[in-house]
Amino acid sequence: MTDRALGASFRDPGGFVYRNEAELFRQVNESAAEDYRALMDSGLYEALREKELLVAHEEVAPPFEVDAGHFATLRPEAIPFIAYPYEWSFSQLKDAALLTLRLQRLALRHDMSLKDASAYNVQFLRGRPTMIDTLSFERYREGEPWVAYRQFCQHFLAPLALMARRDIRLNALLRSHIDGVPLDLAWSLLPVRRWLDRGLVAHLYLHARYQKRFEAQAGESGTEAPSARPLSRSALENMIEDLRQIIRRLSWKPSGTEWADYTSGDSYDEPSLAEKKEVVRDFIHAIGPTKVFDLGANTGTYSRIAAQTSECVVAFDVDPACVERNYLEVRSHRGEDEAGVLPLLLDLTNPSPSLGFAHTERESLVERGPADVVLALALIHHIAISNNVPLPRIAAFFASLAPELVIEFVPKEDPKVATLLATRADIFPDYTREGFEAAFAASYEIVETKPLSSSERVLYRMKRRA
Amino acid sequence: MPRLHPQLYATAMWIALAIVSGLGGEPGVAPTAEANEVHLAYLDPGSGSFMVQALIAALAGIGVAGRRYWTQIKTWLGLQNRSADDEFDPDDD
Repeated sequence: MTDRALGASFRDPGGFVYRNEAELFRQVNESAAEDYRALMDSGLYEALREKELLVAHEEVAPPFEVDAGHFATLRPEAIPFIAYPYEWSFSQLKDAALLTLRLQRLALRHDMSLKDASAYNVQFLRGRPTMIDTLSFERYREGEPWVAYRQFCQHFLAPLALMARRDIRLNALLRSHIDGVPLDLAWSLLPVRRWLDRGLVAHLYLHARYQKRFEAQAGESGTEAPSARPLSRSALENMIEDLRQIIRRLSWKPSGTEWADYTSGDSYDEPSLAEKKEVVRDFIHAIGPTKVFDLGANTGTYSRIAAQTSECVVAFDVDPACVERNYLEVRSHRGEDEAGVLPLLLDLTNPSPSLGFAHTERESLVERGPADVVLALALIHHIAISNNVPLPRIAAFFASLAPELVIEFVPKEDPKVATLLATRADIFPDYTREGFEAAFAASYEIVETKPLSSSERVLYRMKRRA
Repeated sequence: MPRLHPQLYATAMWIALAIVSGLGGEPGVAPTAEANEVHLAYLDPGSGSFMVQALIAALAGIGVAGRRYWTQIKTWLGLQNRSADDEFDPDDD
């Protein structure tokens, strides 16, 4: 049975996740039966569901004949799009960290504990972080330290501290280190004033020192593995509360003129902005998508328009400030159309690859598709001109993501493109409206064309060729 | 700058306590009866990460108690304002 398990589902012997006809199932093995029953019978599951902190599931008959180790089959609520911590903005990672600590606090009240604290166990559902791994809860053993403490520090505390105190771009370390940022590395990258923060001194510096010391010891032959001092429940609760206070204090505010500019939106004056919104709304309405990829979403103006009629709109942008702003906006309007918007960080010139063992633990962007439609508004010039990507290649990439496309062509006469070309040679003779249409014709047929009245820009609705 | 001084004191306290708690010496924790029955997790929690928790939790206890006390004073003085995180991360459930 386990050969059905998804690529990321192999570490925990307590169960695994698999897909059957697009539906997701989780098998609970005999070995995890008691912990699973404790989750369901202790009142913890209900408490977490009431607060919407854990994904809902129902116990179902397994879709296949099961082997001897099978205890139960769960069908969890579907997550429209799986996102990874290296695609989150600062506040998304921070909220996921606070969720993890809150889960552990609530678990302890029900005599249970989190056995892992992986950031990959958190997904954004209806605009808020949600725990998706039902089998991460085990019965609490009095006196035992928190087994997931190291993982929590590596997946959450270390990257958050680096992003807040050193550079927001250090979230990239989560992409290179699949089990979180090593604590000694995080400590060495933090600025000197790290010594003034007792929380970081304790949970990163002391923690890393201890790790190094005991690792060295474990290697010596003949020495017995050292045993941990028992940790009382109240001491453990204090440690969780301490971590919570430290995480809450970490903050990041995008600064500088760039940030201020985002409020004014893109290069449209008001009437033509309204016109563009109208055209995008009509195009989306004509397509009627369930899932939308908004590429180069900025702070999500058009993602919100799409979200009025679509269940899930993933709003990708390369700028951490845009994604942060978009997420905070989504979070404060929870329950409205906006809740379907999932802001994520993505560099289209280097999108998230397949990662982990055998390249199958974390899926690439394309593997997590397809969407029903790609929105590419005020984007093409950034890829074609700033990054020299030939137009036919851009068309082929978009076509690999969704069968429908809503795209805006921004010509050379546009002030935005003129700025890009001001400091370099114009090596783009084919970057014209005709050249654009010819390049995209290989992958798409044009369904509708709408030139915008007060600029040279044109909006297209296209359909992928069979 | 109101945060700097408490931070300095707290950091000094941490470092002092860390030294006192035997960071420089042998780990010196004798395996106890309970410890011998310790349950093994499916992920290696890391022996250092396991060992350091007793120390960190003890120090966190001081910090948490102090903070609770300080919050009470601030609330009493009307200086405590609720942050936007609260709906997502309440002080208690």
